[in-house]
Amino acid sequence: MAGPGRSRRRRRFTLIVLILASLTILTINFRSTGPVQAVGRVTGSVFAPVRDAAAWVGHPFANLWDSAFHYSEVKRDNQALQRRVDELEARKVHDQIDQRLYRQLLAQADITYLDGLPSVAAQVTSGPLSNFQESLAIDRGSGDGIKVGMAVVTDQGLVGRVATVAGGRAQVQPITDPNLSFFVKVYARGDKEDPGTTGEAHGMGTGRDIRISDGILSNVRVSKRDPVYTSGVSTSTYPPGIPVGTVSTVAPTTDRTQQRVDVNPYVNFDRLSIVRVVLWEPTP
Amino acid sequence: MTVLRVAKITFIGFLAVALQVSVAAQLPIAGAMVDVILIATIAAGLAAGPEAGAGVGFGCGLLIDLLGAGPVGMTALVYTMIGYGVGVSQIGVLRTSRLIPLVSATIAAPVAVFAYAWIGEVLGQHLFAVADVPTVALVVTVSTALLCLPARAAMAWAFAEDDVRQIQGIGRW
Repeated sequence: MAGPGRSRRRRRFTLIVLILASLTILTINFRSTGPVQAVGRVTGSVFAPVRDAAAWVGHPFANLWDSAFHYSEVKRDNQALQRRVDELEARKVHDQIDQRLYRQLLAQADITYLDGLPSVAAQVTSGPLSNFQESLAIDRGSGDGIKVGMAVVTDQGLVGRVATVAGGRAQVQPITDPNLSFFVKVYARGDKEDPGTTGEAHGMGTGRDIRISDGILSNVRVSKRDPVYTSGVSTSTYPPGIPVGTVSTVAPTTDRTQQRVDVNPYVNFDRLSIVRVVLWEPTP
Repeated sequence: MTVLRVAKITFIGFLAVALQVSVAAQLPIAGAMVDVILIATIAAGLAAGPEAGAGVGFGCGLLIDLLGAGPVGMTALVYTMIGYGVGVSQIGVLRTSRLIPLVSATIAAPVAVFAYAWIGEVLGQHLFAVADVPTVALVVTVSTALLCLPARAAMAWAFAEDDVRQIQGIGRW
């Protein structure tokens, strides 16, 4: 029988081994080398059926839960939907008059700002898995040509970037994630000749604006509601011209050499169901 | 350790991860979610001691890290220490009051949340901006307090010796 001293030593040995293992994995992961990502892909694929089945079974309960905690939002949505139904009823008459026009409208349902760039539609299958994650899971993966770093969009604008990819699914890091930074251009509203000002933006957490904290000098004129697009600078992983949002607040930085610009994203991250992954990679 | 014991621990670990990704992730409360992995880790520490707590924290934490898009190994690191700490806090506890594990779990849960956020900041992850940490700590603490006793019972079952083999005198391996 092991004495208390020996037992204590063994416990400490176990703890040290596990902590060292965690730190080693963290280090390998931060260096973005292959093994951790490969294991992650396998784990994601193994758990995919569990997540899909649970999502299918749990969807009605999740809706019920959502209704219970967001009753006022549901009521507001209902009113908005009722108004929309009324509008559609009125439009139905016009639609029946010209079927050809209807087909043309349907053909333009594709996202126009992508300007012919190849993209693949994907369904958002789940949100973050734990409290400190911002990622979304989508039901398309490397088999559909998706690679890490590709832009994810909706018809409203930029959603985020592909963070990890497995065979039939991928994780998306939204632009609201403080750990994601990307280059944007701010344009003067209504001025078609404006070449735009490039800055580096990053998220500030779910439900908050994104912030351009670097690149907008103090002598540049930036106003509320100015549109913001992806910049397409050479180091950017996104194609240029994807709408990001509109300027919500402008304030000088503490050293007053630049401006801190907050941007209200176009995309409503609470209501994401279908997104498109832009199959575009920057030319090396 | 018997094969059956390993199988039971593996089953409980996978069940905890499955519950986290399927149920807890879909039913947030005030923007925060119940942390089933933390509950399993604390329960293992309470039921079977520091090594069990650290082992479950490491295994389940690593699995949930691999499934998400965050840094792999961070949950494993934090929950290993929490599981170990909870286990150590039970050493020398002679009374079988239900209050003791409940108090341990109620202390360990917010410590785990703040430790995770702090270590994330140290590693440059800006986790205090990703989540409303006090709200997360509150939701996690209350849910852990409510669920730690049934979870401890499940972990006690998983870590229990193989009764049949013991009765029959068949050796362990």
